[in-house]
Amino acid sequence: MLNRIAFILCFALVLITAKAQTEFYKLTPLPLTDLSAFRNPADNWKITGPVSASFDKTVAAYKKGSGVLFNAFDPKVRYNADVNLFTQLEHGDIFLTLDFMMPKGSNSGIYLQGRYEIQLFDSWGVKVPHVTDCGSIYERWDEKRPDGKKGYEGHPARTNASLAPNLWQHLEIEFRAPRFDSQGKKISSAQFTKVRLNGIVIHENVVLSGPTRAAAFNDEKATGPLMIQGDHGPVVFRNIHFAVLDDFNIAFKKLDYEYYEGNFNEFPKVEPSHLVRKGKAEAIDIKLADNPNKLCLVFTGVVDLKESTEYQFIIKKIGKAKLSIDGEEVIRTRDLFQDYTVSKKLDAGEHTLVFSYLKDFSWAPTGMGLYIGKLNSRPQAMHTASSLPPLPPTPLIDVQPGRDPEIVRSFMEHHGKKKTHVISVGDQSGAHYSYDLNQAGMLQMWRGDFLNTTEMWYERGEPQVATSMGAAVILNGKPPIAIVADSKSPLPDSLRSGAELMYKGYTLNARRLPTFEYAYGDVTFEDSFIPLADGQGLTRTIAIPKMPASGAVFIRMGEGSVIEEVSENVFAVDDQRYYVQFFPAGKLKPQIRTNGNKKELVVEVKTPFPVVIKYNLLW
Amino acid sequence: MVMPDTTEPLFATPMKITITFAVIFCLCFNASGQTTRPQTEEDYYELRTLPIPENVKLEVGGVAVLPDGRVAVSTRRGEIWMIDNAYSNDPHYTRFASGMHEVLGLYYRDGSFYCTQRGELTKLTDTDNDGQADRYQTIYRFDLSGNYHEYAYGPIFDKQGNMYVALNVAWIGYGEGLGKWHGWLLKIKEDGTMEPIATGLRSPAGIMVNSANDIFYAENQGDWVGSGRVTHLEKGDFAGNAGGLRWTKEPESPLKLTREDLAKVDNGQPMHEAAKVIKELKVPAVWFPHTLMGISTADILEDTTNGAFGPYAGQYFVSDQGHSKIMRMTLEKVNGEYQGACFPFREGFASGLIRLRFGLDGSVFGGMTSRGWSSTGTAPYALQRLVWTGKTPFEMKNILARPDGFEIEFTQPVNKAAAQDPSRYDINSFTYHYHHHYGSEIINSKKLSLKGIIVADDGRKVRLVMDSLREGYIHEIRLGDVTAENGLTLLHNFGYYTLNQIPSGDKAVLTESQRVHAHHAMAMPVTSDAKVKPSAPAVSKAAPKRQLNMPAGWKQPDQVIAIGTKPGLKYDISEVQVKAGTRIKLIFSNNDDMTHNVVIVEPGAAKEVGDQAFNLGLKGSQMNYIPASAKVLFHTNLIQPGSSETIYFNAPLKPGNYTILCTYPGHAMIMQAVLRVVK
Repeated sequence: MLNRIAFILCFALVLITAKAQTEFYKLTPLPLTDLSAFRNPADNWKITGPVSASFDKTVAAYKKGSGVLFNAFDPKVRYNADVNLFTQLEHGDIFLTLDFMMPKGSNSGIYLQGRYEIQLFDSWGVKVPHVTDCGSIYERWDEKRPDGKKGYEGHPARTNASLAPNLWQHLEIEFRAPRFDSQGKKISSAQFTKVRLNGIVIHENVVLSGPTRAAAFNDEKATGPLMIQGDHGPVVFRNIHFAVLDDFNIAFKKLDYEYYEGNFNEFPKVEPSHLVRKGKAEAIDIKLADNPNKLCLVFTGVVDLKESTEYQFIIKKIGKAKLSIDGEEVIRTRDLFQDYTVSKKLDAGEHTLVFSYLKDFSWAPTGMGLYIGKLNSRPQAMHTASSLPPLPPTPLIDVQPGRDPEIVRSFMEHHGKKKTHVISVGDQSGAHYSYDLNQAGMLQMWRGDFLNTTEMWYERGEPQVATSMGAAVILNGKPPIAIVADSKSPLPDSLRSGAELMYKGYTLNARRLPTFEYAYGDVTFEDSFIPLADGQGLTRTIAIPKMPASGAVFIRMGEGSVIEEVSENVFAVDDQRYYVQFFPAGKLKPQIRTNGNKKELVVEVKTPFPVVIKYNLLW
Repeated sequence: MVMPDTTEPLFATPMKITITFAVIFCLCFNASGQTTRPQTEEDYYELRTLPIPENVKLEVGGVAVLPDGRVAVSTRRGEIWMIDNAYSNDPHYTRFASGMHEVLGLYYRDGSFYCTQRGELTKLTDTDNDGQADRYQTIYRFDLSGNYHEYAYGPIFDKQGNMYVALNVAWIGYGEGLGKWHGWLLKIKEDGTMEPIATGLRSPAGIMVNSANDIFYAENQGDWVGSGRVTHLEKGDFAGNAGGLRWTKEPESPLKLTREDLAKVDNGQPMHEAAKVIKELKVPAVWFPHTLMGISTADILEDTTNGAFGPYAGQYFVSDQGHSKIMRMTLEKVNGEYQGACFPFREGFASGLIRLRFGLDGSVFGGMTSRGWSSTGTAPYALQRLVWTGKTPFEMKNILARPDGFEIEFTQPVNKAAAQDPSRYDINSFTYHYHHHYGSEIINSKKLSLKGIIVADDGRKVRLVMDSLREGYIHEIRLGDVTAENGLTLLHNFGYYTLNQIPSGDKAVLTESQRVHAHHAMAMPVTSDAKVKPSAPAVSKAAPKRQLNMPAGWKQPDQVIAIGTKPGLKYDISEVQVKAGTRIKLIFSNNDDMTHNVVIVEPGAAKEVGDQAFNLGLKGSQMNYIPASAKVLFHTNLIQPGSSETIYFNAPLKPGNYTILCTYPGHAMIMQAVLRVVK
């Protein structure tokens, strides 16, 4: 079986080729050195330094400094809209990214144009998000409607992608403002083009009929300020960046083409004698060639640019291509499949583009296209739709736990590398994880939907890669246990699988959750994860039955730039990215150590054996 | 003559019942004389399809038959399904295990299952007796690079209780053993100790230990592999593909051969010639000629049923995934080495047939998947059972090598007069290139002439005597109208014998009546050609069917048609419209991983032309599978993967829907498009 040449590989590459354009946005930071970016901020708003807190705190602690926008909410001003915060910035279409932190039980929101709200909320552990949960587009409100129907047209987030209280969360919003004609009549509605929470898409192309509840303005306008809700609860922000977007329309003012036929693998091989045809064209079009695999097409076009700014040129193709602008060659591709992008500052006025494409093989499909983008606008296709092969429709294949957990072995991408002996465990409680059997290392943990296996089980499944379907906290994948010379020795980042560390298998417990078994030098250990009933975390248990003949034994529970004990035996790891809650046992005491440029949360294991180390991972 | 679909008594005395039934059936059959209808495979071996629950994706990777009547199936999605009441129309499925990584082999032994995942050899046990595995013990971990083509197969057990697994090479434009020991046969003990046995394996989907405790594996066509084959593996063997040589420098390696050594013979010579230079190179026991037999050799099954599965006890069945069928293989030892023949046996399975296992009653369970590799049986996956009806077909039961030719053994006595007629035999020899390229065309093809024919007194054996046996070559033995004494025609009339060695011994002494005279031999028609009856005289020179240059007098074509291919036997267009009589330039680009052609035929003639092409047999590849038929209007030659051909023609004058098809065997019914000719 399974014997034939993998030409499908090429089709897989086409999929990548035809994918949506990456944003060509230059992000501008909203300065958080002081409050000057905001209009008349009320007293509750402060600029602070780093913030920390445990998951059960309703207020975070802060240090003096800058870079953090902190709402020191006073319950006395609850529902007093005067304490909401408005930016000086007025925007229409915008791409906005920010980090936020929700203290326990808190509530806030980001209003685009002061009108359309993405809700911020402590939704830790919520299974099915409601319109009031974190990331949802809040409902509209009409007092004239009967009770229970006053709220309408809310859009709950597709999934609850939010994290535990007082962890930093990341939000990305692409928003399209409503459009109006010259009489001021609305001709198209406001739209959340894409909203991502902690990396997970929670809204796409959602059209809003009007402002949502508690908007600052009940009318609709082409622009408005960003509003941050401050009267519902404490909230913290950092890294607020934006790009105000712009419409961009471009077409060739004039376009000529030449079609050459022959076996050209390089542009210098194309000679005038190979010319079959030439003429005028509407757009860059592959159909102007007769032979899809022995061709060279040369398009010479003129574009009239309205603005002097930075422009981006993106070539996607299978084969080779080159592009020159006003006689200067800016792209000449070498790879047959890769996309090529170049940015160039151009003055307003007419510019001549020469786009050439060749292909001399038939073992992969033919396709090419040229996009032109302007800074902070969506790139425009300069080619016909059929010139670039479309994405074939591929159904989702996923795995979801039922009454019993589901386990999937797969390949998995982690920190840009493909891990080959990975097991993922999905549980009904909602807490799932992926684990590298070669290192006994945690790769990621997440809540929500379990596992996307399309890239394993659709057709040949060439990547053989499974991906998490929820907002994942990525972990270091390093072995949790280290046997080193003495208490001062640095802990190794990896062990040689099959030599130093031998994976021996796993046993399913009564709940059908696995306990992994290892041999490491002259000791053995067991490693297991039990999801907390509400899905808010995992309890990891590492059991070591006997001490090695020599050396010190460490358990590494966490790693990051900053680790802080935020309440007794609760550690916020990597600047409030996740929590480790250590269960005290005998004299074992966690320590925060420095390893290179990182901090490690470790516990040195001492007699009497057997030793059982237990801690919660909470996120 | 379909037998009633009764539920057979299973575990009582199945053998006896089946045999008794068979005898009665045969008697009835003979007593009633020959039916006039030609017999088909189905008359002798019936397929029973097991229903699969809608929610179970039974993409079969392994099948294990349990002594208690259950059958276990492992899947590409990493599950093991336990099937109760598996010999009926109403089986019951329970999930025994899950979460593994593409389980392509399954074995049941002493209450546990042994299986291969991509990353390890695993032993599964249900320790708390709730019908589900709870202990997943890693016996041996396989190194992986992360390439999708790093499949793992097995384990199988030898008589000493050792396990064997086979690891695919990765595919990176060629086969390479990226992960350690990929491209190898490994012997693994229960305690996890591993001993590498042999390399040169490319895509070893099937491995088997036979009753003599010898290990065989089935290989797929690919780089260094001209055609499918079955090879006997012993310690230190190199089976041909270079990928696994990456690991011969390891201290445990039983051979030291390198890719550099192999480069010396990478010149397209036949494999048996290369094996004279590279002493580790093991030639196959049996070649399965590509498309003439199958296209992707998968599993091997020795007939250990002592007759419960029909008249082939001790022979072997080899499945083909792409062609959804079973082929039959016979082996003999000549000078201590295995060699033998292969024959068609039973086609028509529902999906890609990757696993064969005998059930308790002597029927064969066929486990199937076609995901990612389309097969003739179009179901995405299936589980079927092949049951002998008790009737004995008239077949070449065996072909055995003799010092001066071959001896054909038949399942029933032959009509002696027919068997004595030399015009009814056609013997050709050929082989394949041994090179780093993907696959091979047929090379060094040569027809052999008969010197004599000796028909045994009991009519069960016919000895073919010839002078010019070719050692190392595949010999095609094709019979024309040789019937049985009882009038039955041969169910399959050809087989391929891989003559690695010509046995020594006495040559036949021919009587005058046994001797074949030269004029006979010369007059001998080619059987395969005889089936192709040109339905019209050859077309005139004025309108060539394959015009490669733009005809003089054309300034330019009126219309250019570009046709490409898509995976799964498809053209990338389903219809193209042309104006009657216009000048057409047609560019055919083969982007697929198989060879294809483009043949334009008269409306309604697709099946006829496709069948004619299929019946060209050995001549087919030389003729580009273009039958000499007036219904073929225009065509390209067979185009290799990744190349193209341009032809010029004038569109037909008569409007209508003409068919564009690929006439490569097995493609014609699926790979079609419409050429719509309009006024």
